[in-house]
Amino acid sequence: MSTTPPADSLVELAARKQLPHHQFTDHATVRWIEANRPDFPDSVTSALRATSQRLVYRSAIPTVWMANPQLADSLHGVRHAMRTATLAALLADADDLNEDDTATLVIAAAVHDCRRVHDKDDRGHGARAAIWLTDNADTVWAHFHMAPTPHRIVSVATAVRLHDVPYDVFAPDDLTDYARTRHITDLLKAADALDRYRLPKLSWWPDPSRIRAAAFTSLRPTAFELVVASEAAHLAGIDSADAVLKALEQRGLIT
Amino acid sequence: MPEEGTKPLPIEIEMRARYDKETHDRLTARLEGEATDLGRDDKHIYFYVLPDKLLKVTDNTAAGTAKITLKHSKIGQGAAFPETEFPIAREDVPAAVAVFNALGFEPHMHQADNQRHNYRFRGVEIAVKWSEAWGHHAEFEVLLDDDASDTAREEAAARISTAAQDLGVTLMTEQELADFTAAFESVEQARKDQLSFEEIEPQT
Repeated sequence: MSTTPPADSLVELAARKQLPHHQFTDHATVRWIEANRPDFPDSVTSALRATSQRLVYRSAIPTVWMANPQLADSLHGVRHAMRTATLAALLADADDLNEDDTATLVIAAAVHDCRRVHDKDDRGHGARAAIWLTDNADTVWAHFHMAPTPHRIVSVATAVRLHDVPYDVFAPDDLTDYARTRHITDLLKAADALDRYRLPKLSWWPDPSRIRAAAFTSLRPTAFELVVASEAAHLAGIDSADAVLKALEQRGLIT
Repeated sequence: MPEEGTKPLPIEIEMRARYDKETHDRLTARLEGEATDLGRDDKHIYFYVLPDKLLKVTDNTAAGTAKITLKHSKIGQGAAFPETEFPIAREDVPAAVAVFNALGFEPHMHQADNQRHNYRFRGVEIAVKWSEAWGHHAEFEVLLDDDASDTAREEAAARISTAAQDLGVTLMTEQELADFTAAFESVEQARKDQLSFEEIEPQT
């Protein structure tokens, strides 16, 4: 069997700087991710608390929320949303966030990329998602069986808006907003970064130096295994939401 | 021949000139004295440079209006541009851009802030402009119906040439326009490629 990835795999396209606008994983790319497993120390991740498990189930967001439904199964689609929501819940547990703040963070993680129009450097998609979220707060919180309070809406919208703005280019308004939602924003950025193991180039994988979350490093093995297991399950024919749920069950994160 | 029930597309006979600041000042002084002043017309323009068309969403920041324009040939591919144009609300500019981007045109998009002052001089509309890409430049335009004869088109082109000559401005040839546009697009594409692939999704 050839060990060279096919020319149209994401990993090969990334190497040639020819990634398409819409990017869907493939067998060669998942094999490449597995083959490049970092030398993680052993780690055990406990099951999510019951309330977080319920939120993670709901993080399979409806396709109609997406600005471009073509992305539902892409690198920024439902699987990324659910893994980011799961990692956000784990980061929240590690930082002893209360249930309300955990829910705020998980909801932010679930919707943070929903207004993307493509899988490349879609600048401003965080701001678009924040506006959309504010306009559709009743629908979003109802989906999670919760009520949208002004504080919750502002917290989620702010974290979502800032998630694609690097810390070092925060404008004065960004800094003001960040000061009000620092913890949620930091953890959303960390959860989003942890899921970068799905990206088809090593230099794009998680970079701890850009992260402000204490549990980031210890969660890297879990993040890596979730990517491999859920991407492989999806390629085996399971839909995106079930692929992630299956990976979560295998890791004992949901029961 | 336009299809039955549709309005004929106007033909825009358009020529351009690029020049230095000194020429700009001299041209402006002449136009201020001798031309009809049609006022400032600053714009922010989203260009979609397609293989054989130019699509624009124009936010007329000075006039407080906006429009979408489809030119059926690109700059540097002939002086006559059939165009389809319709007004939109200024508030709808972001949505229009989002729609075109979502349709897949985003890789072809450029943006430009154009400072522009319009004049009419001897039957020619002259837009004295500055943009980052072009520097100081002017557009000379005469609009004709789409069924204008070849003679009318030649006459319009001659009218523009005469006006430019009288104003001491050298018009660009089609080849110069094509070369300049290709060079600009090449630089812009290289910039986008670098952004798109080196910063595909920067970790933030």
